[in-house]
Order: sequence, then structure tokens, then C-alpha cells
Amino acid sequence: MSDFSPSANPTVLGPDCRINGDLVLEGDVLIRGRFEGTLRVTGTLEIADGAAVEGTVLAGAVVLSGKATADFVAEGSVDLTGSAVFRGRVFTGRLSVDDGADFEGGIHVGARALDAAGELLNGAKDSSSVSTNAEAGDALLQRRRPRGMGNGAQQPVTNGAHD
Amino acid sequence: MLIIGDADGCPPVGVVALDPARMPIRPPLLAFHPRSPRPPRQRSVHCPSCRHGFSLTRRAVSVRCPKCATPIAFDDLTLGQRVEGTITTMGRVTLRDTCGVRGRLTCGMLEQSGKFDGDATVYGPAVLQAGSRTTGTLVARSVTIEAGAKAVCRLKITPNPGPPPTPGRRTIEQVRHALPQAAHGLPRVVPNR
Repeated sequence: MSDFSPSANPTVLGPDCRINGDLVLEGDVLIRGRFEGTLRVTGTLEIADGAAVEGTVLAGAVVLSGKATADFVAEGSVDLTGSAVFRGRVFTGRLSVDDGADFEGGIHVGARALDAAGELLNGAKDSSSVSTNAEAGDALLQRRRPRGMGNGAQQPVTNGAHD
Repeated sequence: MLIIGDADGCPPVGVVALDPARMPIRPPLLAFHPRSPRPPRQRSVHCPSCRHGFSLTRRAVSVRCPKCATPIAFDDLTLGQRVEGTITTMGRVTLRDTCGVRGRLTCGMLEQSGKFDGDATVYGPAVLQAGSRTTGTLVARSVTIEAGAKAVCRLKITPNPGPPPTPGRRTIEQVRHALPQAAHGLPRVVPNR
């Protein structure tokens, strides 16, 4: 099973951020605001305390401290801390729910959990319409960069996805 | 014997043999316990009937709920074979990898390596270890499903697991109204005049 340890520089959706729709992000993601729709994250998705997610989440691993009414599909693990509130279904290889969490729903934990979540996976693949693209971000920065700064002055955008 | 040394942990600078008979004032404590006595180990318990929470010593094997007087047993069970039926204890239940349980399980803690099919209510943590197979319904205070375990079930994690609190004692009139008129067969209560 893959290792989905969180990195030091996750993509952060701040507490004032409200997103509706489909979103694909590469790397780790920290949600502090609200999200509704279909979210695909290749790394670890952390939903902070006070954040809320509705819809379908496909991620490498999920750490939930906030509120979620969703279906979670995680290749690695799903961890719910003591402040988490969850309603929905979980498909994952490893699940941990701490004391104090509020969980109600169905679980499918095991080696074939992703096979059982096939309907969710196919639906999310077809409906993804919003994505970040690393190459597109670099090209945009190249156009907007002043001529005096040179090519290596800025770091390329790292949070992007290739669909 | 007294070892004289620095208080900061430096090596001792000398060793003096103390004779209690020659000392002008007898020291109050020549020997002392390096550790303070341990407090009695407690376990927190929730009554399965009324959900009243209380704590008692870990040595207790049974107790009555101080609120509703329901008897509660704390037997620790380890199962290694096929069991079908109802298991109720507020102690720890261990299901070995050779075990297969079908039915209703109520316990204080659950550690599962074998198979379980049915309704489980765990008033403490539930640990589903690698190789375990779980189907049915699991209600617990917390749960850990390790990699290699398989669980296809409904899960409910709540600080107060278990059925809703049992209603208090009802009067004969409440029972009479709750039952169908033809079925109960209770004698009619005539108020005193």
C-alpha cells in the first residue's frame, strides 16, 4: 500500500473559501473552508476543524477533523479525529475513528475497497471539469514575469494536476 | 549508610556509616520507598440500560448501576471457536483468528482477529486487526480497522453507544394503555372510594 504522509507545503483552501463544483488537486490539500462537489486529491486531504465538505472525495489518504457529509474513497487510510462529524460512506484500506468523533454510515474497508467504490470512481472521472494544470501555471507566470527577473527567479507552480 | 554527594547528580564525594544509637537525634526515616503507592486503577463504565457513567476499580468483576440498579458484569472473554448467539459483558472480548461469531455482541472493549457477523455494540474502543472479517452493524465509542482487515458493515461511532435509555418504571395504568385491550388480560383497576 502506498505511503501518504502529509507534506510540509499543502494546498490550502482557507477559511473564507467556499467552492462548489469539481476540483482536482495534485499533492496534499488542507481544507479550512467549505467545499461541495467532487474533490480528487492525489496526496493527503486534511479537513480541518471547522471546515465542511459535501459530496464525493477521492484521495490518497484523508484526515478529517471537521464535518463531512460525503462518500470518501481513499487508497491509503481514513483517520477521523475526536472533533470529526461524518455522515456517508467510506471505502478505504484502513480506517481509524478516535474517541469523541461522530460517525454514522457505511464502511467498506479492505484490500478490495476500491473495487467496491467503482461506481463512485467512474462517476468522478467523468464529471471532473475543473482542474489545476502545472504547465498552464508556468506559462502564465512566464508571460507575466518582468523581463529583468530572468527565468530562474520564481519557483514554478507545484500544485497542479495532469488529467 | 549515607552517601554524601552533590544534589545536581555529581558523583558522591564520601560514604559515612550512620549508627542510629550514636546519633543525637534519631532520623525520622532511614529507609524510604522510592515510589509513592499507586492509586487504585479505575475503569470508566457506562450503564447499557440508562447510559449513566461512573467509575470503579478494575478489580471489580460485577457491579450494579448506581442509578438504575442494572447488574453489569466485567468478565473478559477470549473466543477461539465458532459461537452463535448473544454475548453480553462489559469487559474485554477477544476474538481470535480461529473464531467465528454470529449473533449479537455487547462488550466494553473488542479486539478482533477472527470473523464476526451480526450486531456489535462496544462501549469502549474496538480494534479490528489484520485478518479479521466483520459484517453487520458495529456501534462503538472508537474504532481502529487495521490494514489487512476487512469490514463491510454499518458503522456508528458515538460517545454513548448502545440502545436508547430504558424508560423509567411505568405505572399499571401506563402499561394498561400500552397493551391491546384484549391481549393483556390484566384485572381492571377499580379506584378506592
